[in-house]
Amino acid sequence: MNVAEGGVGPGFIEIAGLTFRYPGADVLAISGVDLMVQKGEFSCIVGPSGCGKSTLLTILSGLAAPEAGTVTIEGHEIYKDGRRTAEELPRCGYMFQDARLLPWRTVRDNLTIALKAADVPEERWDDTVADLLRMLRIEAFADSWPLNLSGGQRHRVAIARALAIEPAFILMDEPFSTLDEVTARFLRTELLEVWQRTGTTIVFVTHSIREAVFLGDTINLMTKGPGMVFDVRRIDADRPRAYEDPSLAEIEGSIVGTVLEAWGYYEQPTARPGDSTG
Amino acid sequence: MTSIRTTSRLSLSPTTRQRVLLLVGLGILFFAWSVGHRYSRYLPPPGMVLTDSVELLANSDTYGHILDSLRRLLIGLAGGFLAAAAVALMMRSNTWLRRFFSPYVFVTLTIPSLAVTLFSLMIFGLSEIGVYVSVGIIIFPFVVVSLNEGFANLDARLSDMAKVYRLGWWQRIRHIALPEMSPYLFSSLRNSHALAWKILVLAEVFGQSTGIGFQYKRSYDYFQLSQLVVWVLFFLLVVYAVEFGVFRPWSKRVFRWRSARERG
Amino acid sequence: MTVEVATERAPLEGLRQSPGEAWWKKLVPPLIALILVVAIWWPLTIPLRGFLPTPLAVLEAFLDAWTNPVFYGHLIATFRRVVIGAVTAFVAGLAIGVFMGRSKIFEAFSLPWVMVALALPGPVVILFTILILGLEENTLLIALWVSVTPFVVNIVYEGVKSLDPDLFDMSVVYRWSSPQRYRDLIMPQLAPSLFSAGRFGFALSWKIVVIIEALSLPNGIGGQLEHFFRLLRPDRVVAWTLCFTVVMTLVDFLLFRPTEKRVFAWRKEAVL
Repeated sequence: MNVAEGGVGPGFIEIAGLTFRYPGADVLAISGVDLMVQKGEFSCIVGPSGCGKSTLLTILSGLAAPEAGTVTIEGHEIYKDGRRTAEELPRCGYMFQDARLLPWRTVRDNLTIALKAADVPEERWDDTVADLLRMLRIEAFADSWPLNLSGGQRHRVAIARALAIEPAFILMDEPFSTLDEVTARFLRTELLEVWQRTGTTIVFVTHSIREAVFLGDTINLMTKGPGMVFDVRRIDADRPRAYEDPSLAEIEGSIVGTVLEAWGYYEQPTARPGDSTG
Repeated sequence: MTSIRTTSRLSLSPTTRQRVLLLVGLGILFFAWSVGHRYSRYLPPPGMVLTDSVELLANSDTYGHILDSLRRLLIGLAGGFLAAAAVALMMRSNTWLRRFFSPYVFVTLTIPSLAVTLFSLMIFGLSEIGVYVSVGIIIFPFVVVSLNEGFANLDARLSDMAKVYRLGWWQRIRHIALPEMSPYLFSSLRNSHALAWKILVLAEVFGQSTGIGFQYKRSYDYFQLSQLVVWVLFFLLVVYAVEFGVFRPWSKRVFRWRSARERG
Repeated sequence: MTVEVATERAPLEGLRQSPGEAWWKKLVPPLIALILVVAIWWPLTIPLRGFLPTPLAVLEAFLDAWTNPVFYGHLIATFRRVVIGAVTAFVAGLAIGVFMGRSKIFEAFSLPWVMVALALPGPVVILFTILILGLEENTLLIALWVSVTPFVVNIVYEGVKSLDPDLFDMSVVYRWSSPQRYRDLIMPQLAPSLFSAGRFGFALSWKIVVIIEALSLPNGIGGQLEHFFRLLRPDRVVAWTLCFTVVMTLVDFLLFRPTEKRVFAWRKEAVL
C-alpha cells in the first residue's frame, strides 16, 4: 500500500501560509509555507541551512506553535490562524539528527518506554520490540547500552522507536547527516524497505538533493530563510532505485540548476534547463 | 625548560610506579620514625603503636566506639544531604525560592564549623542530636552549591524528545530527570562524606562520651600519644573503608551505562 | 575531598537580578528568610529555656562585644595567627604544589600523603602537635600551617597540571625568552589558581584557627568560644561568632574582591 496516484485531492498533511518566528528574533524563520503530503507517501523537504526546514518539523510535531497559518493532519485542523486548536495531535514518530536515546536505559527499555507512553497494551510489547529489532537487524543489541553502539546502530534504534508507536506519520530531521556515507546508504535502503512494509507517511528533511531524489516520491524545495516552498517536484522513478542510476542523476542535475539560482549562488543570469543551448 | 610536559625517566608503568613510590615513602617514614622517636621526648616508637593497635582491636569496646561514630555520621550526612537536595531542587525551579534560600546557604557556608558545633551541642544538651544537627548544617551549603552547579548543566534535548513521544510526568521523572541528576547527586554525596567525618570528630571531641572523637580527647587527656596515633589510624581506615567499600562499587553501578571512554 | 573548594561566591547567585526588575524586589525573599528564622527561634526559647538563648539576649551580647576591648584583644590575637598561618601555608603550598605539578616522581610520591592530610580532622592535628611540642604559641602556628597547607597544595597542583603544553610549544617555536614566558604565558595561566589558593587559604585559616585555639590556649576567639561553651553561655557563643565572622568576611572582601576581576578577566566563565 504505497503512494497515492496523482497528488490532487485532500492531502494527509496540509499546511497553508505557515509563518514562524523564534521568540525574541527580529527575522522570521519561515514565511508563508504551503505544503501538501499525501497519505503513505515519502515526502522530502530540501533547503539550504537556515531555511527553516527543521522548524517546520518542530511545528508539525507540536513542539512549537506558529505565528500564523493552518495545519491540517488527517482531516484534523491542528493549527488555525496561528493558534493551536483543541484537536488532539495524531501520533507522530520523530527522528532527530542526534538519535536522542536515553543513554542510561537499554535499547529494549528505550523502546518500551515509548510504547508505554503511546498507550500500547503491555502484552504487545515483547513482540513489537522483537519484530522491529529484527526488521532493522539489531536484535543482538536488545539489552545493550546505547553508548556502546555505533552511530548507525543508534539511528536504527531511533527508527525502531519511531515505528514502535504505530504513528500516523513519521518526521525525520536530517537523520543520516551525521553518519558516514556507507552507513548512511545502508540505512537509506533499510528505511525504504521498512516504509514499503508499513506504508507509513514520512516527511523527510535533508540538505542533500541526491538523498532526496533517491528516497522521495515528492520533493519540496525551500528558499533561503525566511523560507517558503517555491517548487515541488514529483519523482516518478520506479522502485527499487539505484543510488548511481543515471536517470536519477539527471533529475538531480535539473533540481540543482533550479536551486542554485533560488539559493543565490550565481551572480549573473545563467542558462536554465529548458533554454535552448544549441 | 625544554617542555612543560613532564616526563619521567623511570620505565615502569604508572600504577607500578605509584605503588613502588608509596612503599618507598612509607619505608622512609617508618625509618625516620624509628630513629627519630629517640630524639623527641614524647614520640612513641613504632613498635608501641603496633602493640597498642593489636590490644585495642582485641577489645570489644573499640568496635562500640567506631559503630557509634558511624551511626552518627550516617544520620547527620543523610539528614544534611536530603535537606540540601530538596533545597537545591526548589532553588532550581523558582527564582523567588532561589533568593529565599540564598541567605541560609551563605550563612551556613561562612560561619566557622566550631561555632555551629558548640552551639548545637549546647542547645541540645550534649545529646547525640547536637552531633547530627551540626554535621547536617555544616555540609548543607556545600551540597546545595555543588548540586546547583551540576543542575545548571542539564540537557534540554531529551525533554524535547519526551514531549514528542508523549512521556507522562512520572515517566519523565523516572527515566529522564532522576538519571540525569544522579551523577551530581552521587558526587555531592561522596565529597560531603569526607567533610562530614571531620565535623563528626569535632563534635565528639567537645561533647560526647563515646566515639572516635571522644577517644582522641581521652588519649590527649591521659597523655597517651601512641593511643592517639592508633585511633587516628582507625579513623583513616574507616573513612577509606567507606570510600572504597561503598562509594567505589556504587559508582560503577551508577555509571555503568557510560561508554568505556567516558567512565570515570 | 574537593568540596571545600566550592565557590564561595555561588551562594550569592540567588541575588542576581533578572532584567527589568526593581533592585529592592530581589531583597524581599532573603529578608523574609531572615525574619522566618527569628519567627521560629523566638517561640522555641520557651520550651528550651536555659538551652536556647533568646534573640534579645544574643543581640545584647552582640552589641556588648563591639564595645568591649576584651573582644578586640582576642580578635587581634586570632587575626595575627590567621595571617601567619595563611601566609606560611601559601608559600609552602605554592612550592610543593608547583613541584608536584612538574615532577611526576614527586607527584606519585606525595599524592597519597596529601590525600591523607586532607582527610585529617583539625582536632587531630592540634592535639597531636601539642603532645609532641608542648602547649605554646608556636605549636598553634605549626598546627595551623599543617592543616591549611595541603589544601593550598591541592589547588596549586591542579593549576600547574592544567598549564597548556600546546601554548608552551608555541613559545618555544617562536623563541620566547624565559622571562617573557613567565610573564606572558605561565603567570596569566597560573594566576587564577594562585588567587583561589590564596583566598581559600585565608578563609580556611580563620575557620580552623578557632578550632585550634579552642583546644589549646585560652586566648583568641576560639579560646573564648570554648570558655563560653564550658560556662554554658550560648548567647555569647553566637554573638562573638557573628562579630568575628563579620570582621573576617570584611577583610576577605577588602583584600580579595578588588583584584579578583583583573585576575579572572580573560576567563570565559562569568565571575559574580
